[in-house]
Amino acid sequence: MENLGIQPIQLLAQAINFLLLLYILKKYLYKPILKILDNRKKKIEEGLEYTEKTKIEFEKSEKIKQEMIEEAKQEAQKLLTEAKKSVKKQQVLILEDAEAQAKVLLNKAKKDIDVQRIEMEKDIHEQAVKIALRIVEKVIKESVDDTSHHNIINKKIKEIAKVKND
Amino acid sequence: MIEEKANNKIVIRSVIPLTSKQLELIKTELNQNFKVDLPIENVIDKSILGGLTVNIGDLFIDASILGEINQLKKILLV
Repeated sequence: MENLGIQPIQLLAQAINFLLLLYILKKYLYKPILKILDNRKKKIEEGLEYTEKTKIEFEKSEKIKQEMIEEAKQEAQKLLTEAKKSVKKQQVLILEDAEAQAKVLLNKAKKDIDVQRIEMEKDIHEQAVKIALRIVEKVIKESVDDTSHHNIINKKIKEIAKVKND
Repeated sequence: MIEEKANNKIVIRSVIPLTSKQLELIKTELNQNFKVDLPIENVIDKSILGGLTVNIGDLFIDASILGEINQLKKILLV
């Protein structure tokens, strides 16, 4: 070995140094680093797990949101349909009411016209009678002579004779 | 009774004066039917148009043409 240039004592010392260094590194460097790496790995795994969980929660809430939107849409549609029905019903009622009122007004107008017509006819009749009788009076005044007057008086005296004393 | 309220006369209205024959005839008729024997006053009234009216107190007999026209008017205007 000495021929090869290797000093056994030196080699042994180096071996001891190496082993000592290995021991120190293992005890004070590798273990904390490994622990840090392990912790980091654990945190990453937790992070991934959390992300996965969050993703699932998000999807779940998205689904619920979609369901709620759908439900709200259906409810809105239902309300709209009911409102349309209500408006239509209201329109029918208003129309019926208007028709009934128009009928009442028409009947009243017809009655008023009838009353006016009857009054007018009565008035015309009265006027016609009055005019006719005035003409009769005028004709009698102008055309009845004394002889006719005496004949009428004689006739009337006979009529008075028929009247009984009550 | 009629005679008591008659103011001692019978008032006859006519368009022309009644003849004495007509006056006599009506006097007889009034005496027979109403037991009235009073003097007659003949009043000329053109408004009655014809015939005659007789007033004996409250009693009024309308035998005029105007009376007939008024009766006709009542019937026609009912």
